[in-house]
Amino acid sequence: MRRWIVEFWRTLSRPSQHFSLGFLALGGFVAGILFWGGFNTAMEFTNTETFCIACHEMEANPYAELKPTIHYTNRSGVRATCSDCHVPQDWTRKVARKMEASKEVWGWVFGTINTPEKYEAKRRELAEREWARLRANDSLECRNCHTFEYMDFTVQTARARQLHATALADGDATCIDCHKGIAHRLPDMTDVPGW
Amino acid sequence: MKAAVAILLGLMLAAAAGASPNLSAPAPDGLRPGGSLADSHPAPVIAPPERDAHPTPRAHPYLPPVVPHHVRDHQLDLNANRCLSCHDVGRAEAMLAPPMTPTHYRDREGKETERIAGGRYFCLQCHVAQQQVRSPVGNDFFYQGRRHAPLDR
Ligand code: HEC
Ligand code: HEC
Ligand code: HEC
Ligand code: HEC
Ligand code: HEC
Repeated sequence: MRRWIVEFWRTLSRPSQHFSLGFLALGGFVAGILFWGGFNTAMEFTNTETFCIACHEMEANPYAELKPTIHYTNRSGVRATCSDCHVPQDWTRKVARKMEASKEVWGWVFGTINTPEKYEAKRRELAEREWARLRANDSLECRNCHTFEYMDFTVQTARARQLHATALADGDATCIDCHKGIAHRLPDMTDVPGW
Repeated sequence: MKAAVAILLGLMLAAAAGASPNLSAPAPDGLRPGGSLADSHPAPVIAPPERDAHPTPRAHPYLPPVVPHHVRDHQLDLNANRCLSCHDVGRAEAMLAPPMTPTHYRDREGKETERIAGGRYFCLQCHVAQQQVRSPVGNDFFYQGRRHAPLDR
């Protein structure tokens, strides 16, 4: 084993005898693209809904709850998928979120929320985390689809117009402050401000 | 054998012909058109919910007002009551909604309650959301000389 490592190191450190520098540089470049592309493709795959609901916990709870809501079925036929609301579009933040998600894999392996009872018990904590994240980034994921600048208040309902033209326009509140539970059932809301 | 089948068929036809006029009788109040049991009719269209109505006049005092807005995805269970998030007295001002009246904060013995009374928690028991439909029958309810037919727009 040790001999093999030494041999391997020698080969690596010896200047190339058979390939030109140009070939090696180009080869490295192509390999880099392949690796990068592969990495991003793999990451994109983990962004698909098929991936998200491949595990039973997500299919039985958040996905089933999403189905009757306006973000799954509505008059315009445009829908939101899990990653639209839960994964940042910006690359650095996306990678950061994916690294955080490794903890969720841990939870999956050990079945932290693998029964409806366990899910319900954890729901408030999980929801709080999403609320905090969206509050901190001024509801960025919502705004990827719903842009304040393009909202036509004249066709909004009276209830919506009254508050969008005041608290939202002034920046006193962000989408998630008023729109909790737009995609899933809410946890026990005792002591949540505004409930 | 053939004769037996023919007689049976004949009998069945006669029975069907004899029975159908009764089945097809229209409901007396005009709610159901004639023939609705024996024949099939096109289903009425599913009425879209009223998303943004104006407060509907109440027929008489103490009548729970109908809900003048849509209630889609309004969670109302043990975990959360979305109606309260706007209509609770402490919230109404900030959400620019009419606050619930004191009757909602009184239990059945008439004692004041700090939070919403248990009997008033499920708002949609008394306050109904509206759909864009014409009432199928007229309404001849009078209260203090005023006729009440707010849905016949
Ligand atoms: C993938 C794009 C997308 C994202 C991301 C998204 N939405 Fe939506 N949203 C929609 C669509 C599409 C509709 C339905 C429009 C229609 O009525 O046809 C909608 C409808 C709504 C409604 C109207 C509800 C109703 O009952 O009328 C609200 C409120 C809303 N979204 C809030 C949010 C919030 C808050 C977020 C962020 C957590 C968010 N949306 C993220 C696409 C999106
Ligand atoms: C201060 C509270 C508040 C804030 C902040 C807020 N909304 Fe709303 N919004 C409401 C209310 C109240 C309604 C009407 C009730 C409903 O339809 O759920 C509403 C309705 C809507 C609707 C449906 C409009 C209609 O005509 O039915 C959409 C879409 C929406 N909001 C998106 C957003 C988005 C996106 C943001 C963030 C950019 C946001 N809202 C921020 C209070 C707010
Ligand atoms: C329209 C935006 C939107 C979409 C689409 C969406 N979510 Fe959520 N999700 C939220 C918000 C906002 C919360 C925070 C809790 C709340 O307000 O309901 C949340 C909370 C959660 C939670 C925490 C537990 C809970 O129930 O609150 C999980 C898990 C979750 N989402 C998974 C998913 C999965 C899986 C999908 C795809 C099937 C999905 N979400 C699609 C917006 C969304
Ligand atoms: C986002 C805030 C909001 C939520 C949530 C909400 N409402 Fe309202 N509601 C309003 C506003 C604002 C009005 C006044 C509308 C108007 O005057 O056009 C209103 C009006 C009403 C009225 C009519 C009052 C009257 O005097 O005619 C009733 C009844 C009512 N709501 C019941 C409900 C019920 C039941 C729910 C839950 C299913 C609910 N509301 C959820 C904001 C809300
Ligand atoms: C047992 C039936 C009942 C239930 C349940 C009930 N209400 Fe009412 N509500 C009434 C009646 C009756 C009135 C009108 C008489 C009065 O003013 O008390 C009323 C009036 C109202 C008004 C009009 C206030 C105004 O100033 O015009 C609002 C808003 C309202 N209710 C909201 C709610 C909400 C929100 C809930 C759920 C948390 C609810 N109600 C549950 C019976 C009910």
